[in-house]
Amino acid sequence: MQKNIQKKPQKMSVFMIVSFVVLFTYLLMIILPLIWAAIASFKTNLEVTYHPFDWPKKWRWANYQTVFENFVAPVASEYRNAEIFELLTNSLLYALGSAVLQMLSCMLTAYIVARFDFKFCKLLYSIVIVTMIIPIVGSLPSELRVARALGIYDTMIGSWMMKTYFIGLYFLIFHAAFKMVPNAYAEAAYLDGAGNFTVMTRVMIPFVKGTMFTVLLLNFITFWNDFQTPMVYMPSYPTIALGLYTVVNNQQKTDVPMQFGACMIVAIPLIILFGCFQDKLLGNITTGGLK
Amino acid sequence: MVKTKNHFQKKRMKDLIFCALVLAVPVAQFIIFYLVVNFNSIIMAFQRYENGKFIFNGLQNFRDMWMEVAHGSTLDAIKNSIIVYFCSSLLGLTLSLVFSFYIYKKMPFSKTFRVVLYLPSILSSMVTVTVFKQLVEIGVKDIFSLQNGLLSNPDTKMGTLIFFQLLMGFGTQILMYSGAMNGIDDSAVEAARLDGVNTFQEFFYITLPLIYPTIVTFLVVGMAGMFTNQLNLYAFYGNGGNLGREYWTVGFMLFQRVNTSKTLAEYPLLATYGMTLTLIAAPMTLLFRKGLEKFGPSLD
Repeated sequence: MQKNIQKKPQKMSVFMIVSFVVLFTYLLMIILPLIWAAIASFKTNLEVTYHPFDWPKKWRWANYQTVFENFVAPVASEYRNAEIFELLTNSLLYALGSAVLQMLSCMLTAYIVARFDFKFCKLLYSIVIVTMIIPIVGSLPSELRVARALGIYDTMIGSWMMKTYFIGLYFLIFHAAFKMVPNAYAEAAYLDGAGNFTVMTRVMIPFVKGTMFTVLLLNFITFWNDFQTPMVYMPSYPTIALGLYTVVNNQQKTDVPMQFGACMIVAIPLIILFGCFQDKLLGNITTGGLK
Repeated sequence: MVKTKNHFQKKRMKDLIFCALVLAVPVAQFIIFYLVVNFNSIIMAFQRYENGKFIFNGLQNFRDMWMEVAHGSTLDAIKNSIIVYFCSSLLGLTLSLVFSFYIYKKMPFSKTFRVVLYLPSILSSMVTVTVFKQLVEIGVKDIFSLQNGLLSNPDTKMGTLIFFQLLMGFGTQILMYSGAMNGIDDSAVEAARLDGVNTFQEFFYITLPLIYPTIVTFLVVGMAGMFTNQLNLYAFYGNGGNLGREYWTVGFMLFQRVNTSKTLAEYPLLATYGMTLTLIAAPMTLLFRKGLEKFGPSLD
């Protein structure tokens, strides 16, 4: 009840009015360029260059047909170009596989560290903290060498394996979430004869399913948008983000409406996804300090 | 008594086996892709690549690296990385906290602002970069009748790149800071309000100290990533064709050189850079963290 009273909208102070003005300016700076790009994607290149803010003289839907036809990226091992549906399939495989595996890795490790009191649990927690605060610079050449040595370079499975890490912020988020679940639930299940696996999967994980879904979505979006990993680690499996990089930097380097059209094709599915799941995505995920 | 002890040991053993099974994959992944990779990176710093093999090269890579630092643009890259970190941290942190506080207090349109602040995080950097690039090159040039776009003008290029990073970088911070603020006990805020504290004072003397551990986390993680931050340069300029070397950051330099190297010959020198920069950045980050913890705000 007290919480409700506190969180009610309050009268705006000068501090809040200034904040509102800055935030509103920020909102315009984010939304207006996107709307501008969406409109400009229907213009000719000359119109965009010389009359960037004028309304299109004619709405050229054919621009999108051209974009679809030219939305390709090279497949390194086969000396051919992958078209948009192959790029989408690769993106889906890469983003979904990496997102699920990374989320599971973080969640399961965090569960063990949060719920058991073995010495290695403390060690694992320290490892996460240390790896977060001790920067490792320039390990990319070594990563590529190790990937080649293991025979996983330029494979989808190899990329999934590289993304199955538990170190990072999401471990801390899951750790905090599991620590908040009262022990009594697990104790009761143990008394009823449940084993460790049942307690984990049927008692504890349901408590953090909100966090699980949020982390999964955040991971999926990150990997969907990632063009550098496919570029470096799996050049034979170009994704839609890498396709956009190729379109913008090679195929349509000087054609601005085509670039904008390609951007819209990549952005719109994510904006829809965001619209559908914004409550989950922007839900309460918290982390504390690096102790 | 013995039966209870046996039961306890059996349970402990079962727990141990369960933990080992659950952790097997994540720990193996960590060993291979963190420990082995970084150990191999250290070894590579003392090797050279010749006739398809890596062979011991003593300290030659370090000599080569210092020659490059003395005569090349590496110092510019280091300087740029530091500038980017401080600009992003000081301005980005301040704005993120103010924005999060606005959202936490449920002021008008706070839900809309929250969605918009997070929007750049869900879009590919290629999308945001392409739109922003054309906006400042064509749009801003047209509005203000400039001779060059902001990215074509050497005087405004670096500032524009930093501004873009700042503009796009609020998402996760807002999520975490507003999450931490929502966890603040309402009674502390109520008590302060009864003492006549205004909104500005509440922000400085109640909210900031209470979410300080989260702020430290972001500052420390940000500093740890100082030399890996690419400033989106790859999305803006690809391999750096139209970008002068004086605008490179360390993160971009290392990625660009790995990506453009045709053979493995350049890897050992880049591993040497990595090792040296890690040795510089690690104590800096640890000291910074200690400082933040020691001189942080108190709740008194």
